[in-house]
Amino acid sequence: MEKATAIYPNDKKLAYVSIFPSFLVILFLSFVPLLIVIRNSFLKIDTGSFEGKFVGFKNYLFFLSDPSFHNAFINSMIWTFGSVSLDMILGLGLALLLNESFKFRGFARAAIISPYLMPSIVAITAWRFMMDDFNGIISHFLMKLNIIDEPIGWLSDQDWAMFAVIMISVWKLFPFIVIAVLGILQSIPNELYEAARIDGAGPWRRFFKITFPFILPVFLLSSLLRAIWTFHKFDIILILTDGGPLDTTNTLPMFVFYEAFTTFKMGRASASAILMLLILLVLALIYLYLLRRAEKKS
Amino acid sequence: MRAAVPKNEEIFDIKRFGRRIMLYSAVIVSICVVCFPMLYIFVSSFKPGSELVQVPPTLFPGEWTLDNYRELFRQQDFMTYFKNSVLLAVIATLLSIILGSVGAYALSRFNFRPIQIFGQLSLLSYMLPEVLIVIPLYVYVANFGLADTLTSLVLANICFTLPLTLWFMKSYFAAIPIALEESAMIDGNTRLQAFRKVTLPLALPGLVSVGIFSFNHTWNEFIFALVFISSDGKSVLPLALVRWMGQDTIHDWGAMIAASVIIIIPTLVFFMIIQKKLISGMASGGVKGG
Repeated sequence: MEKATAIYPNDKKLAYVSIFPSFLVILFLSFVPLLIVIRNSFLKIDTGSFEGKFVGFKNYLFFLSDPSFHNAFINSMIWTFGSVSLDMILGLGLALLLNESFKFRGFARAAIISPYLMPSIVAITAWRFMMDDFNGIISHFLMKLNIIDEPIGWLSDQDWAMFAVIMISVWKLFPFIVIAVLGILQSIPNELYEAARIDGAGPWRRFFKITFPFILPVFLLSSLLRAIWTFHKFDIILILTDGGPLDTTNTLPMFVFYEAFTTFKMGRASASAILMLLILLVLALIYLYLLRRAEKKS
Repeated sequence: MRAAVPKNEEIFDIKRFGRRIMLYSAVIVSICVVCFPMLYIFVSSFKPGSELVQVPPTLFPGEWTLDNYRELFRQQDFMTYFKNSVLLAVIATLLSIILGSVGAYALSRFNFRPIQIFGQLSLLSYMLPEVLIVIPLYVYVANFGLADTLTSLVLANICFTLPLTLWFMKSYFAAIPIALEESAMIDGNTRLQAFRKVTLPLALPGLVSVGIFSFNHTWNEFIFALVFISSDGKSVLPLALVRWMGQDTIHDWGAMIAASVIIIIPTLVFFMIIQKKLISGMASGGVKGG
């Protein structure tokens, strides 16, 4: 950063004083809590209290052979990859569309991005209303088109519940990819396209030879970031299906939340939370690795 | 055959025209699909209660009424939730802005190792999953007598909004040239005066934006509220909706939908402000003129 000058001394005292309040807050609200979770994961605690009996790795070992934990892991994978792959397709498609020039483009961009700004609870209420078992407008619309014969219980039917919560998550969060890709699309130098046009490249060729390689790093990185967030997001599932029906939407964070606040097995909950964090860490490391590589290239 | 073929430019025009139509229809269809849920609950909030449970559902209200909103505001509880939500969001936002901007200034201006390491670690804390942090915070809440208080929610929320403020404002301050502060100090100001008179006003658009993000985060949060808050008197708006939704199978859709529309309002207003602020911020600010 900037070198210290006489008039602008590198004032250590000022630096520490101004960072101290933030440090205290983050220490006691993030670092200490993380240590508490790690500590508790080795204890048997069945209440919200601080005391517990040391049991070593027993909590961790428990999950290795717990079928409902395995089920939650598989559900988490379906939830994450299902949401993110749809996010990627929709996000890329709409970003390309919104990058074309047309009238009211600013309005169209704001409209497409708007779900991202919506409060989760509002999105949840709206979709719950639209997916109602009896008079949900989605079922009735599909019935009008003769695609289905009777209303589908989107959130109460075990064949549909995971699909339904994934759809809601995609609707809420695909704009993140749109924003990221739109940003990079606008930075592609026009000369590249002009040169390609002179060489006689058609629109498809131009897309695959110029546009796609140019946006690929940002596209992949933003998708991976979405995967990391989606993996630990559970507000939609918690409110709309509560992990059901028959555990079909019981993902890992739901599992952790249930262990902690329904059965109050805090020790076990902490261990499962740490396992979840480790999986996230792997994703985050891949992200950082790809980020470094992308930065080196450019 | 040959005579029927139009001239070159006309072929081009027809092709171009076709492409424009496809483009516009794709845009219109996308907007309709993406915006449908919001528009649908907005118009549905004006339907009478009986129409909301009618089979088949209606798209537009058969009869427009403000009953849902009137009913909502008549309830004493709703006003309590509303007040609690505003109070919580304002306190959490102010706290994270005040603490965070001072911290971010240090992060952007000093590069001693401990400070930079703290900066990196604070980013890590921003990445921690909610479900992981809610467990130890519950231990705090249960052991320090914070159960069922708005204070517990203030803490839970600044745990996310403070790191956000730190990082956002760090890059914002970094973009403000140190030279500006130095010249203010040459003019006889102390360092704090220089910060207050020069840096802070320039950073104002950034503070407004990050303040809006923090407010929004706190205004919308309900997982911590669900765990920490038990009494109705301490409930906040999103939590109230969660509880209404969980109550039984036959929902009071009128109240729920009207409440959702009200929850959206600050979000909408804020993002309209932020759009203008962000544009008129740094670019036209004092950076060039000193």
